Amino acid sequence: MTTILGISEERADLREMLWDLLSQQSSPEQVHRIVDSGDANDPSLDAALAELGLVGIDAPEDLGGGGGGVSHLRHVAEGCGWSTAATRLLGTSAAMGALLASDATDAREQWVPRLADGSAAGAVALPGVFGGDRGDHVTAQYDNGSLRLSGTVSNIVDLPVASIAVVLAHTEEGRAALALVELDSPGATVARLEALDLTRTIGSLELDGARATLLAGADAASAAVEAIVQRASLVLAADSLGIAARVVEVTVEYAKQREQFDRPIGSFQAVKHQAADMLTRTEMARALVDEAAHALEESRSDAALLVSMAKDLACGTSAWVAGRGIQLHGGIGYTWEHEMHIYFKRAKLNEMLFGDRRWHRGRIIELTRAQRGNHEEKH
Amino acid sequence: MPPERTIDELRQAVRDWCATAIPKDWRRTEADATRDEFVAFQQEWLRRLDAAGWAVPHWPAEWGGGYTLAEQGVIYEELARAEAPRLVLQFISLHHAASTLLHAGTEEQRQRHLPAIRQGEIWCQGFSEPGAGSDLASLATKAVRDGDHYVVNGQKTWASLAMYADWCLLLVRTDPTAPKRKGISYMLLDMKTPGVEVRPIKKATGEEHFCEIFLTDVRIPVENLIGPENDGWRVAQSTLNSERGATMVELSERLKVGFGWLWDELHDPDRDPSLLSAHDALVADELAGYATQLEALRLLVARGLADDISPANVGTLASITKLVYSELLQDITGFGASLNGVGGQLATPRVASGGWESGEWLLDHISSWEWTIPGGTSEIQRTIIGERGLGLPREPR
Repeated sequence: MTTILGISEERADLREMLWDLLSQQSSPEQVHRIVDSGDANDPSLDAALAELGLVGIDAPEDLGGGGGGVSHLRHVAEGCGWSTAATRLLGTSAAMGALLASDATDAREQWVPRLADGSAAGAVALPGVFGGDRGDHVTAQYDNGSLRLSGTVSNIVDLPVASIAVVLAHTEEGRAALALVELDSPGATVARLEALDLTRTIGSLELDGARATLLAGADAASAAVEAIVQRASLVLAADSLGIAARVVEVTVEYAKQREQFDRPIGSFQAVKHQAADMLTRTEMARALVDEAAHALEESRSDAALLVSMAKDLACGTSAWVAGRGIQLHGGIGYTWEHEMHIYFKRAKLNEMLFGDRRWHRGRIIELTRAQRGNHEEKH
Repeated sequence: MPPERTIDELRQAVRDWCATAIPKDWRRTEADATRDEFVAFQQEWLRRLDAAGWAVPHWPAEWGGGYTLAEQGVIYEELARAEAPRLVLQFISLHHAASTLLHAGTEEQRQRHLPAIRQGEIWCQGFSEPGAGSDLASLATKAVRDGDHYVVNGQKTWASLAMYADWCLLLVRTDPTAPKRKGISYMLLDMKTPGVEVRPIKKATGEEHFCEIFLTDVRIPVENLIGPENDGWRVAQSTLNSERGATMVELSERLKVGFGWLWDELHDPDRDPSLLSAHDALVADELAGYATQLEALRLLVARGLADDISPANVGTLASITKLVYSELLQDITGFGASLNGVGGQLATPRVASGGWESGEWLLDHISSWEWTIPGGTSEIQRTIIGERGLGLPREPR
């Protein structure tokens, strides 16, 4: 765990437990097996995480959760990134966020415990929210009191390994409806897409009058979407932070061992200074991820801003750090056999999920304008 | 001891004080100030800060300070947010000189200088030499013992504001035969001693700030030694390491305030429409990126002051925050200098008490190299981070 920042005792205990588990169950050898299998899915790891209560770590105890906060979830996500774990945590925790933000008591009581204990997994489809989804759209129709969804959403992370999907749909009148679809129900079809990152699955969802449960409608839907976005962005930021920290560790270890010109390459400034920048930027990301997690847990007014900052900085940093990691390893870092490409591909995917740089920077600008009171008289 | 107050009460107290104590139009009246006006203004500002108790919050209580790191952070934060003048002239005195005296000085040296520093005694730092920059330990200024004095000959350079200094923190070589770090001694030099000659260096911005100090047969009493003879390198290193970086709170807050001016300038509805504005997508992308990095810097600085950081990591984090601050300052001021066309290249009056963000972005940008070079260049910081922080093997030296 390469960090020079302090960690509180309680969090240090959680991290020790997590890192122990992940070093064993999501070791580089295990990740390589998953990658080579092409499944991008590790059911025994998901089961182990659920069994230790890590998937529902911040869900209420009466719903089978751990009763912690999102600042605990942030460490679980960092560990998963650190070990490039092929888990369903991202989609599942995003779906859980939707359920926790919803007033639909029955759905919450039915699904939160199942997501937490690993007997179900989730994915979230938010067409139209982030842009870049080619006009994907889902229509909601009320038919004799039951809600039915139709439409297509492409490129949904964790969908192929999910049992439920939380979908943002709109009625013909344009009213938003956030709804839950059981993916084995008639009218719901999942197609798996081939992703370059072999630690996460991506799929597209086709809905043709599939029955759905309303989680939040109209204004409540936008609040629930906002809750999902913040939660998933934080999970991704922490995941990317974990990747960056791992790449720093692995690369520094290599630079200490590998000798050229009769000395360890890490003694050369050209290498050492890049490693210093990798650590520096990773710790900047860590400081923001920590603060964003606390802001979100405490429902602070600056939470949305800090989460977008953390998402943008941590994901961008992680992709940059992983690229430097490949470079400093030389030829070996560019082989399939080495794990560096696995870190790099996951970091690149994380950059695009739940809002890319343009989307989050746009939010940073808007939220900062609101904070500073910049008015837009002329525009 | 400072009065019993909660952090929030302290913040409010500093804020209330700032509201009345800061001269309203000081930036205008200090623009293009003469040397004498600059010195008078700085000394008057120190007097006011000291009277209120905000000049030396980082000193121990018995010498007039006694604030915790968190409290120091709050004081610097509020001064920066209120856009107070910076104490430029007394920076070495209040920080490096005081820290050296408190850390390694004798009781007599402390008694002689610490109260005087609060009253405006000015110090400079005689470390670098023409032949000893990043490789400071190769310094050649020679001190030879002659009875109860040392006789010093040599040349120092890059001494900030030495033309105003009363005293100098001086590193000299007392044993030319020892390995280079083992033959250095640390002394206090009275700048009025015969044989001391100061020549200001005109810097890239056109101002005079750094100086050369020529030392010819300068006699320094033996009691002005700091620490044991030939132990000066260790004293200098441990003094630097004992500074916990509360000043970085002020610098990062001031950079945030300065960035706010740039932000507002780019959002000004009356801005010349032929220039770039915040509504340009490329500008907005960069603004968001800098806002994010600034927040990360402020959080890192705060983590450096927190109780849970391990002592072994304090130095590495100090190098990280210095590196991030200085390069972010360079980037943000460079960004500012790129937004106003040729008009942004015209000469404007300089406010010497301002700091590194005056809103005159090109001049600020040029000045930013005063942060990436002195105090250990960015390259030296990266070497420290790589070796101390990551445990990478040392390079041959």
